[in-house]
Amino acid sequence: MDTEEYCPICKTDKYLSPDMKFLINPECYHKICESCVDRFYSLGPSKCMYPNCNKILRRNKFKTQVFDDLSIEKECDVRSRVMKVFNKNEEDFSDLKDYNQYLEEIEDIVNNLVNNVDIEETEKKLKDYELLNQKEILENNTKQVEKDQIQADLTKLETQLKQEKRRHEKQTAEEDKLLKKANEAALIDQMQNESAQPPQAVRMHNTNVLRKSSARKKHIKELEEQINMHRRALGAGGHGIESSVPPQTPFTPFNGDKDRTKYYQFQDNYYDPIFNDMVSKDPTFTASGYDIKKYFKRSLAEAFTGLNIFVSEEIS
Amino acid sequence: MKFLIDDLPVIFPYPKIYPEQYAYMCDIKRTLDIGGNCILEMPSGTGKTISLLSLTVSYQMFYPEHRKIIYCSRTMSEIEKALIELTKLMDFRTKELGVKENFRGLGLTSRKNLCLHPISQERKGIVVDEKCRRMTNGQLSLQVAKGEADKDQLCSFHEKMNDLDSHEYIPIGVYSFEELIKYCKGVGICPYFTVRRMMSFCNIIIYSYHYLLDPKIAQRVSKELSKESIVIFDEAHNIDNVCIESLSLDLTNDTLKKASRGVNSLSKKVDEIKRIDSKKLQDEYERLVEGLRATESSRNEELIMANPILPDDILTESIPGNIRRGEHFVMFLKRFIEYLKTRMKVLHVISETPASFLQHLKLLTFIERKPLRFCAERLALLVKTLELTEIEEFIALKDIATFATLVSTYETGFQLILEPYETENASGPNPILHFTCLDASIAIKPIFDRFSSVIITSGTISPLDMYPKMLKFDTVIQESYTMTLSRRSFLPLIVTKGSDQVSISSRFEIRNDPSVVRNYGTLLIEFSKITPDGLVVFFPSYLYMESIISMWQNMGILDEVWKYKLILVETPDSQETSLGLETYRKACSNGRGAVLLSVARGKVSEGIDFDHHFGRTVLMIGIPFQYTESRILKARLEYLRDHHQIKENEFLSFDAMRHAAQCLGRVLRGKDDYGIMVLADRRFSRKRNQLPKWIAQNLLDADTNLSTDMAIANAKKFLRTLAQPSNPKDQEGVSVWNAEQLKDHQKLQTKNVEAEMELDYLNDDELELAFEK
Ligand code: SF4
Ligand SMILES: [Zn+2]
Ligand SMILES: [Zn+2]
Repeated sequence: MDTEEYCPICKTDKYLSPDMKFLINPECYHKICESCVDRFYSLGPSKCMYPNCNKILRRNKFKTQVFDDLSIEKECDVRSRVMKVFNKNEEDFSDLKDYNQYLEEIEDIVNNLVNNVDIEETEKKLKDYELLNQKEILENNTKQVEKDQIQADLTKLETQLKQEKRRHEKQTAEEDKLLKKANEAALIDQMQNESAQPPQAVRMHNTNVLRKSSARKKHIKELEEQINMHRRALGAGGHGIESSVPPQTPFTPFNGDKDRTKYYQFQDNYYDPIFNDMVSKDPTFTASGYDIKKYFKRSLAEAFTGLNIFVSEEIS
Repeated sequence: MKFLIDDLPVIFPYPKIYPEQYAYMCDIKRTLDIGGNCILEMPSGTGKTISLLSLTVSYQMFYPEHRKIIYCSRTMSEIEKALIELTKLMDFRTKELGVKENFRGLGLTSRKNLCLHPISQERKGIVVDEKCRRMTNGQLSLQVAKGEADKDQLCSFHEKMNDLDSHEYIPIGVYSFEELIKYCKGVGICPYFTVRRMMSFCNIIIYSYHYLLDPKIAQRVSKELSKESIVIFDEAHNIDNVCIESLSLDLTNDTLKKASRGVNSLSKKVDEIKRIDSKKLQDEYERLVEGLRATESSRNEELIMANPILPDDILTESIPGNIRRGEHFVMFLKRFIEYLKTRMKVLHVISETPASFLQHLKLLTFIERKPLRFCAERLALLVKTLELTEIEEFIALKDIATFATLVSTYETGFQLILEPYETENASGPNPILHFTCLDASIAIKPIFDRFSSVIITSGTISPLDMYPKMLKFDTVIQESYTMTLSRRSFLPLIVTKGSDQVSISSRFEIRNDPSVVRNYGTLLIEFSKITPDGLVVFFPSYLYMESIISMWQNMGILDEVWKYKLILVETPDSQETSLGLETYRKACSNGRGAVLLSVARGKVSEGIDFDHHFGRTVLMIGIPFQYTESRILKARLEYLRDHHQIKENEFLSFDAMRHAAQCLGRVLRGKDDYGIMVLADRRFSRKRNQLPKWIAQNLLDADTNLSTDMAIANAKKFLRTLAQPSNPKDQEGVSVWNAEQLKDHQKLQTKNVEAEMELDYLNDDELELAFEK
């Protein structure tokens, strides 16, 4: 069994009062029980209760211990401090190598702080960096907050979608059953009184069911849309989630109006016995802005577009 | 006999062939010709293995591509059986062709089974693996060469192999495991590594699924197989479970504790090396900075851990900066393990996706996804750099790294489930963190991508279209063959009610109802009265079996059975069970007769054959549904519903019926065999179409809704007819063909085809006429 299951200050045993909680303070990580914290620190900062520990502790800094291993607890606290400052992301770097270098630097800083190596120097480094990059840090912070928000929304939406789908399935199955029953009943009716038409009630029921299920389907579609939007937003931020949705472009009939493939090569001169002469001789043609090249271009385009014929390829 | 399928001459080692064998071979050939996958259901006991082998070997030898054959089976004994069949086939081919072909066929199994070194006496397979790795690793032999280490630390069988060239370890021919070991012992080389290194010189390799499906093993063993190889999965009805297991992992507090210890000693080693020989770590570090992945190790050597993820998912960029340095990586591991420990303290069940797990992890420990993905690789590297040889210490740590890499690589299709209590009414928590794969198609995808033809086959693999749906692949041929029989040699019966007309079922609400239990008991008594020799009974679960047996004991039913037969029970302990089986066999052989009570998902149902007098009746008590309260199953069902459009009930019923079919298939192991198959549950009558075609076809409509007394009457009649001596001549031409009859059949077939073509031709003419008009 764990040996330290009692408070060293008031000697309350965990075994006897299973509800007791231990708290620690990131100043010195000495463990004391909750009621002791209340007793000693509610009147303001005071010295640690452990003998030979001269740290001044504040009540609001006490917290519950997350990890069993205190060194890890400490490391994570240090990390949270460092990461607040060093909060760049991979996409803030153009080169992966630089990013990796940056990551390593962080590790070094954390390592030093945890193991009390070159504390002053490291602290200074941290401060300097913070001063130097103040603006960026703030920006990154807000970015991160946004991202977290989107992520949270996404998770929520996804669970919602799942539930919705499930409900839809269930209802559809139920309705199918009902419908089948109704149809059977109708069939029996029909056989009894020989009327050729299925009775009104059944038809009504059918349309009703259809309407309801399509409404549900629509709702599901909407949810899916929303999820995709969130995913895209996250994807734009370059976050780890690989979205399976292809990037969306506006719909175009030919897979992009920007189809700039040249089907032909336009030359300066074309021989056209009638037109050439007419245009060059009669200024009334050109006066209004007519250009014979346009005519050639159009004819060529008409000849080749849509057939996907490339003259040069055809010749060879 | 020799015959042609289209242009392919097939050599078949028996003078006679069953019609379904011929059809089966034709379909396989077609699949191989077109390229693509197929699913074939071939009734048990119709010589599936030999047909497979003789066709694929003929195919390989005849066509110039000489496609390699990879034959995967499930258990060691099945592999051994296949090897023996192959030996027979090759002997026959030699006789038939007059020359010994240049053909090499080997089987691979774990080190534990093949090792010659005294370490193979270890009980656990992993320990043998680790010890062997230690004795064969390259660093050690370097040290020995330099005189730093003792030569006795190396395995002599492995060292001896260095004197030989890798293609001359073993001469051509087919070797069963026994022969392999014998030969290797003679030469003084290691059988395991002989097979491993001869793999590329083999025409056929026979091994278990894992060598192809489990990425950890496949990377080492099956990397060099060529794309054109013909891949066969035999006995593949459980292939989806194998796929899932190969990507799943369980963690316990014990693992974590050991991993903690491992990481501590790792940390000590890092410090030590830093003091003594800091250059080593610095070298490694510099290499990583440059983005080199120092994985090129000599071929003789094996890294202690392989990457647990599929080759396509391995990131190719360099190792992230925050785990590049050894000490940073150690810190990283420590943090991760501590985090897992805190997770294990939770006292309620948690089911979450990898994404949410990672999110929470990052929140508490600032561990990002990317370095996690490299965890397994990084650990392997570090261990190598530190030249650690005492690897046992790190087995748990290895699991943790594997888990880290898996959880950060896969997002959909996986689920983390934490179960704090082992059983519902356990006194103290004993948490298990399951990381389970929900999607069988993930692990098998690389196989379909890599190999052009994959043949999936089994005796019971109905309904066929479930498998392409679950494993996400396309088939060119899906076929279920029926059994041609000259007389009805097995009798399937569905018993739905007792003689008192109370319906019987293992449904949860009524399974312990005394009237139901009594009715099952009477059924057992009656069948033990009329069945000659062996009677096998299957229950849906151990739990149910135990409760029924104790109730039967109180009702005096067992005493009644005892008068006619010996009663033996399967237990979860495999040694006990094998002892029980031995006794059972003895009792069947000496005429006392015996009843074996076993479980539909247990060992007996999967691998043991009850041919001839060892099993004349098989009695299924209840439908063997899975335990639906299991969270893992629930998660999987949900996933199947959402992503594969398979409904829960559809899957559960499919899964139950495939196990039932497996059990039924146990008693019929050949065409001269006979047996009764009793399905005792009211619900079976609706599930009739989910039985394999060859069983369903033999199930008469009149036999689907019987009461106990009617079933007994039918069974008596059946046994009486089959007790008559049969004339083997009857079978000829109907359920068995000789070369002549086969030729006749082929002629008939071509004639039919021609007739059809003529018809087409006519149609064309008509069409033309129509046009003219
Ligand atoms: S090399 Fe072979 S014989 Fe030697 S320990 Fe390993 S498996 Fe055993
Ligand atoms: Zn206290
Ligand atoms: Zn203190």
